[in-house]
Amino acid sequence: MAKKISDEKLESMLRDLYGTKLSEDELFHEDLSAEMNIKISESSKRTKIRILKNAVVACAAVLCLTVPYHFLSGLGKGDKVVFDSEISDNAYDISTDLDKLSDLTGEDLRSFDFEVITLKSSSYYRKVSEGDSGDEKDALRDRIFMELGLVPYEDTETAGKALFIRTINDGSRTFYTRQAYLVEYGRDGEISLEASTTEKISEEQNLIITSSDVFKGFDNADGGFRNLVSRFQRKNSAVKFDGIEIRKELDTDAEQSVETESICAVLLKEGKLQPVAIYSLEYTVDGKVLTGEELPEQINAKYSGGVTTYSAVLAYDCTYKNSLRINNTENDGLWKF
Amino acid sequence: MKDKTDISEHIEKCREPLTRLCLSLCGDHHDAADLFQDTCLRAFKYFRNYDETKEFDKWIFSICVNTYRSGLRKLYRMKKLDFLSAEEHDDFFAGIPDTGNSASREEYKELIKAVKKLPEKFHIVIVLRFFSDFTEKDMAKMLGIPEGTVKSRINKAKKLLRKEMECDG
Repeated sequence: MAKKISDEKLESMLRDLYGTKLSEDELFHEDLSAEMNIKISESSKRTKIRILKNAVVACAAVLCLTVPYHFLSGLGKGDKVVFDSEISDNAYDISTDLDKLSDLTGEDLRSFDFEVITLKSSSYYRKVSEGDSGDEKDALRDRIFMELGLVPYEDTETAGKALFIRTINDGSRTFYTRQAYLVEYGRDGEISLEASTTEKISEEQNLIITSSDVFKGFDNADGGFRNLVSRFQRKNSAVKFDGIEIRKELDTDAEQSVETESICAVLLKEGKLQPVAIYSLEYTVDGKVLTGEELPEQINAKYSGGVTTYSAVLAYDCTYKNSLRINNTENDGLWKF
Repeated sequence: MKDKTDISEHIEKCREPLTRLCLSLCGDHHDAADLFQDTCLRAFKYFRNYDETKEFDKWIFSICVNTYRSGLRKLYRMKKLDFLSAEEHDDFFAGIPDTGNSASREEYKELIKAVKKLPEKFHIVIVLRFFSDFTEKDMAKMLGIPEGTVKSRINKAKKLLRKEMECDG
């Protein structure tokens, strides 16, 4: 017969287990202060080096702007491009996790590169997204979540979970792909699969992503989608797409709002970006977006005729602080969990 | 500006509960020592942000819990309450007053087994609740979740523990 454990007994045992004071011998007795001072001084040095490194990277980024083909090679596919310096120095060996993840998904993921992003609680992410200061790495995670649309901010419990995002490195830069897995770590260190994007990167796509030549088609009026997005975020410049003005320049010195023909979604089709949905928006100087019509949460692209080679809709979602959202067209524009 | 000797004194005062919290969370002496050190390092680094009108122990315990949670994939998250040897197991139990008789010892073993199976979010609230009788308000603040969530997690955790122990028994 199964025994019954009363609430009082359970509480008393837990209090014994966790609440019993430790003896002097059991305490940690390192001379912390000396060690701490050394570590902090080392960490401060590292920060300085990082700032310098970031400055160099920033200069490199400016130079890259003058070389649009290279600059565009990753984003054209709908993937996030980051510089290696932005990626955490992840010393953790994930091979065991990848073995397990391969078992869980039935795909052999062992030979791929992944960036593993540890998630904290949803409240933490809310805080960051509201513009509070976060460190560089957190800001990067924040952007990735928003762009992948993987983690809704408001009500998702994310503590104890990690996001495995497949990355592709072309030697100089690392691309975040849309192939991602949300896993939860169990108490025994084992992982379980919570969710995954349906996007899989084939060898062929891999080649496309790493070959900038394929994206020569993006050499249009404003130098491509990345430039387009970037210009959307700068309110004081007009935005053109394939020679069509889709947003006028805002006069930031004046109280001004501008009615625009804003592009909200573009389709990557046969290596070219094409608009699939254009919405009329009103921009104000302080960045708020007023819409004459209700903006849809997701924009679904339908393409018929010819050979459909598109792989993604890149939706410029104005409801999320001018962020770029990348949606999967194969599932009605929604990521599947 | 706050003096670094201040924080050393503060840490000294809560060395025992902080050690215990690290051990409770990690369940392994070496990993707990790492967590202890990481916590102190962070406390040292951010001591200038510490609001002296608030209790220091709660501040550093929050740092400890957050360090533990953000160290998700570090080793000290992987071996919770696993004992490498019988000696280590006995050492751990030596601190529990009620383990003198074998039946009680068995029950603690079952409890530890059950705790090990708890999902992380339930494990943390149980540790915090029974490590120092934190109020739900304190815990909510530390974990960044609403008080109601803390309450429901404690109840759910206890339910899971009871279920597991009763099944085992």
